[in-house]
Amino acid sequence: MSFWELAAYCVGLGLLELENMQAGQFMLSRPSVVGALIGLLTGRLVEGARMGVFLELLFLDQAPMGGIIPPSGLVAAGAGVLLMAGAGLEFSMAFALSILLGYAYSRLQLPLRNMRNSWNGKIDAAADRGKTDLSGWIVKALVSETAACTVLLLAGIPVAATAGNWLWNNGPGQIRSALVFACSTAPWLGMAALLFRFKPRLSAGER
Amino acid sequence: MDARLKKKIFLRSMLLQACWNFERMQNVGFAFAILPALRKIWPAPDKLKKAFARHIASLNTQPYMAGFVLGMTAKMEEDLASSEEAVEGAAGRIQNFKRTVASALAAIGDSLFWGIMRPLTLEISVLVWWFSGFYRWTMLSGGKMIGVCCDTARLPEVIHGTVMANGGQANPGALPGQWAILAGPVAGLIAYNALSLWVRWKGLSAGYACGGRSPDCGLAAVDWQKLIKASGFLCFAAAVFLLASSYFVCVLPLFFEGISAASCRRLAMPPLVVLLAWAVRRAGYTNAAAYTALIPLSAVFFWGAGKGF
Repeated sequence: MSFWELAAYCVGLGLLELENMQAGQFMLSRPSVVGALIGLLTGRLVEGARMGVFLELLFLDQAPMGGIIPPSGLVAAGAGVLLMAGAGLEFSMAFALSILLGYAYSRLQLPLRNMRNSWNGKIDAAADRGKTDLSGWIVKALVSETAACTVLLLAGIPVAATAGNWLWNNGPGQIRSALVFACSTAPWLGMAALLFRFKPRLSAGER
Repeated sequence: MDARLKKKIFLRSMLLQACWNFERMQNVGFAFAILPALRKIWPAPDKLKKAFARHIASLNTQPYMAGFVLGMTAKMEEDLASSEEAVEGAAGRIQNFKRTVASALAAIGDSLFWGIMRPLTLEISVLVWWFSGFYRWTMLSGGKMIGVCCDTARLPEVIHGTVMANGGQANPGALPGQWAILAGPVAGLIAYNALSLWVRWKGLSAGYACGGRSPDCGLAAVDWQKLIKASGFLCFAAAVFLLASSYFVCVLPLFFEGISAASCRRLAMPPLVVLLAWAVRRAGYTNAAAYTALIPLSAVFFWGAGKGF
C-alpha cells in the first residue's frame, strides 16, 4: 500500500470518526461496520468483518456514558484492517496493535475536549456582542477532530506495522502463540460478557 | 412548531455533541439546535441574546433523547414569549426543568441505546452471518484450527450433510459471498437506526406537546421500561444462542475425529473462557483488560510447556 493510499484511508477514517461522537451517531463508525467496509475496499472482507466484530465484542462493555471516553472502535478497526491488508501483518498481531491505537485515540480526546473548554468564554463574549451564530465553532471542532484522528492513524499505522513485523518475525515463538491464543478468545469473551450482563437484569426484572 | 422548523431542529440536533467539552458538555450543540426556534420566537436582538445565553449554559443528555429536551424547551420559550410572566423567574424555571428532564432522559437513553441496543444490533449482525452460512465467524482463519475453536474444515459438511440436509447434497462449505458478509453489519445498522431515528423524531413532538407542563415531560411518551425489558431479553436470548451454537459447531466435528488430548483441550477451552469472562465481570475489569492479560499469561504458559499453541 502506497503512502497516498494510506493517507486516503486515514482521511476517510478521520471523517468517519466524526460520526462516532460528534455528528449523527448513526453507528456507521462502529467497528463491525468499519472493519467490513475497509476489508471490502482492501480486498480482505472476511478478515476485516471478523476483526470488526471481534473488536466490537471486546469493547462493548465500555460505553460513552457521561464523560467516559471509551477506546475508539473506529480507529482500532480501521487501523487493524489496514495493518493486515496494507502492511501484511498477521490477524492476531494486527488485532493487538489495533487495540493499542484505539486506546491511544481515546487519550487524544482529552486534550481535544479540554481545548473546547476554552471556547466557552469566547462564545459567551461573542453572544454578549449579539453574535449568536455557532457554525464557525462547530466547523472548527469537526475539523480539529478529523485532523487529530487522521494524524494519529497516519503516524500510528506505519510505526505499529514496523514494530509488529519485527516482533512477529524476530520475537520468541511463544509471543506469537500467545497473541493467536488471546485473539481467538476475544469473541468468546465478548459473547460470554453479554450473557452475564443481561442475566441479572432479567432476574431482577428491572431496567 | 411548524414542520419546517421541526426538520431544522431535528437536523441540527445531529450535531449536539460536536463541541462536547468537560466544562459545559453539550451546551454549544444544544444552543445550535435550538437557535432556529429562538430566532423565530424572539425576533428582537436583545431578547434573542438573553434567550441564547440561557441555552449556552451547561447541559448533558443522551444524544438520541435530546429531541425531547429540545421540543420541550422550544415550547417553554414560546410560552414565555407570549406570557406576562416576569422573564427572569421564568427563565430560571426553563433552565431547571431542562436540566432535570435531560438527566432523567440521559439515564434512560444510556441504558437503552448504549447498554442494550448496541450489543443487540451487533448480535443481529452475527445472527445474519450465522443464518447466511458464515458459521466460522469466531475463527481466525478458515480451515485449520487456530486458538479456541477447533478444526472446522468438515463443519459445513456436518451441518449441511447431517444436521441440515440440503437436498441430500453435502455443501462443500465455501464461505458465503461478500454480500452475505456485508449483510450482517448492514442489518445491525438498519435495526439500530430504525429505533434511534424514531426516538429522535418523536422526541421533538412529544417534548413540544408536553412543553414543561408535567414533571415527567416526554418520559411518558414511550413505555421505556417495557422497551428496555423486551430488548434486554432479546439481547440475552441472542447471546445464549450465539454462545451455544458457536460451541456446538466447534465441538460437533470432534466426535468424528476421535478423542485426543488436543480435542479435549479444544472442548474445554470455550467453557474456560466463559468462566474467565464471568470472573472478569465480577472483578470489575473490562473485556479488553482480560484480553490484554491473556497475552503475557499464555506466553508464560507456552514458555513453560515448551511449545506453541
